[in-house]
Amino acid sequence: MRKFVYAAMFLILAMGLVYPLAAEQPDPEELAYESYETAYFQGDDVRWRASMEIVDDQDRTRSRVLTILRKNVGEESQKYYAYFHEPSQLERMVFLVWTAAGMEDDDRWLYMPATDMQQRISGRQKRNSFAGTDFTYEDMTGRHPDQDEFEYLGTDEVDERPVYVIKGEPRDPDLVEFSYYEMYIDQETKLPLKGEFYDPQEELHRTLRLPEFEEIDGYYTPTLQVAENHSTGSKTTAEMSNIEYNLGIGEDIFAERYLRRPPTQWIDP
Amino acid sequence: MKLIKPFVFAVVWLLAAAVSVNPAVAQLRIRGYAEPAYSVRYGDAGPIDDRNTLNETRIMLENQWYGGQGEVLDLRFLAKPAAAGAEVEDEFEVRQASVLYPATRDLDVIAGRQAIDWGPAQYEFVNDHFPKDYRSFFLGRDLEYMRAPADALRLRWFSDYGNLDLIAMPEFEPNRNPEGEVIPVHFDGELLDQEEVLEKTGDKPPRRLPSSSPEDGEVHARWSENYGRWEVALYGYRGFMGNPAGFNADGTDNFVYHPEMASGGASLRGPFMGGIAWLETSFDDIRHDEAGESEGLPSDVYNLLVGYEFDHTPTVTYMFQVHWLHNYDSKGLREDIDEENHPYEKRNRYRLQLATERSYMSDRLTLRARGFAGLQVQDWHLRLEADYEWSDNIRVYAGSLHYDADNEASRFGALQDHDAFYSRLRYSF
Repeated sequence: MRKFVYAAMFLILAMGLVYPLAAEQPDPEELAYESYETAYFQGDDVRWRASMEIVDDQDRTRSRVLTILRKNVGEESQKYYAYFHEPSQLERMVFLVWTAAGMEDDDRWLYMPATDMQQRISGRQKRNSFAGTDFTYEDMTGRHPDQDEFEYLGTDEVDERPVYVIKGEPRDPDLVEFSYYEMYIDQETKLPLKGEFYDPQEELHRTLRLPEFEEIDGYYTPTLQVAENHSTGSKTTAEMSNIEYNLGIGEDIFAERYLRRPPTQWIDP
Repeated sequence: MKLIKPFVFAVVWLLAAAVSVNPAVAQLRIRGYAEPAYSVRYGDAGPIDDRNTLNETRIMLENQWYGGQGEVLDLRFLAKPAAAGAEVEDEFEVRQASVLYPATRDLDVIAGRQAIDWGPAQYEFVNDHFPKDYRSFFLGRDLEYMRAPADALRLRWFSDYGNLDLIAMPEFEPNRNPEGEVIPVHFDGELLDQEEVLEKTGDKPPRRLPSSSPEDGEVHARWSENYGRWEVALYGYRGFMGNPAGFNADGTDNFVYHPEMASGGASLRGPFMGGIAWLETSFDDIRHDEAGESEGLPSDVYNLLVGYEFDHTPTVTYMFQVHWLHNYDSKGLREDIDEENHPYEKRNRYRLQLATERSYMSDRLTLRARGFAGLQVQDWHLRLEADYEWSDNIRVYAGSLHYDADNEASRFGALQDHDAFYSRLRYSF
């Protein structure tokens, strides 16, 4: 009987020790949502200038310089307007994207100044290259967490900052080129400092990194991002500058009317 | 009546003067590109000895000034200096000289020379009656040249009830078709160059244009609205057929001309099963031939077109499009032209278009294939192109154009000996 009491006491004690530890383990889905909100949903609107350099496996470089306007519409919808300043062959090109959580495809329009044509383009493929860079459309507008199932992997460090590591597996693998990804989320800011995407053979084929960020207008904001495609050996570095939140950008400019005619109050063409 | 053009110019310059240039966004920096192009025809060279159909350098210079109130002054000039020793002269074209003026919060006025298009269809023009440059298309020039510019006054009204576009063109602008100047064309069963075509048609002008009076101008209209994620549009047009499809048959004065035409139609475009689907329909009413009895006039046509484009993978896109044309009556042509050989005699025609685009190296290299086929008249055209972004400034294009037809008088039949390879190098600055 005494042995039974001791065993029961040991079990209760052990559970008492284990339970608080288990309770401290973060919910991976909650982490994914927090990270998504921090990286893509801060402020009512934001404007920034992105200077991108694409270096291929033979060290040849190309550039993209663009101004991006983003406006949150409602709880989970956003509109993006991207105006290209450089290179000269893409100057005045405009991407307009309406994206919403729960929708399989975005609404996208493209204005090509070379042909002076505006057209609606398919928005199902969110994993295509964004304007010839190693970033995808989804890297620019964010991958909504409800598209994946998450698993908590533990903690680690990225650039000497403590991070949570979670694994995301797509609910619909047919829509993406990866089989799963691991996301390294900064414990303090909740920014995704690194994302590693693995192909169906479980080989690392893409890495996204966020080596630099700043607190701007009270929001933690990426100022340097790097996308590497390990399959092609190509790498794109994007420097963000002139970042301003809550400018009062009207929703009306995210429309076809402004594809040919950039809104000069927000964009210096 | 000749005052209409000076009037349009006056409107353009008044609007230009009204542009309150914002120093923050005003800049004088000429942009553009230089594009040498070269092509080799490998089919029957016909009467034109030189097999180079595209041996030119196009220089585009452009600039846009943005005013403080949303005004845009848009200028684009195209120069094509003649090659050394060539018989042709230097060419210079104003591609765009327009002023956009936001007259009110909901109304934009765009006046001047401009290239306009609309409608969801790809390379079939159901409700788009703006001038087209088929010469450039069939020579292998960049597709931007397919849209020919015209002088126009355009009003764009944006409202809660939809967007309305009204365009008045004071002077009719015809399509630019291959007429044998660089591409030999089949005419009367023979492969002829332009001079030989003129000889065959006699000293009389082969084509007559509508007068430049305002009554012979064009009016285009479009209303569009988004319902959910689908865009619905209605169209109207009053003007002339872009191609000289009319044939004067009084027996004394033979010439072709652009018959008067009115057209009305609708289109629908939106996301469907992961891609973009579109449907477009129109009725082209050839004026003065309500009973289909006039000789030398083409018939009224009903158009129905459906298309679908989707991304198969992030780097592979497919498109297909079917265009049904139903001729209401063709009495004039039946009596005037050999019935067996003329494709317009088919009451129903079906045109199929298939296209695919594949990109490699993070979109640095793009391969395109686009095929056109006339299912009733048995003609087809295939365009293959590789487009490589060499650097920020240099883009290289190489492609080929292929044609074949059972009937020389069909859409691609006149070009069936014009298979060609082409290359272009565009330096942007």
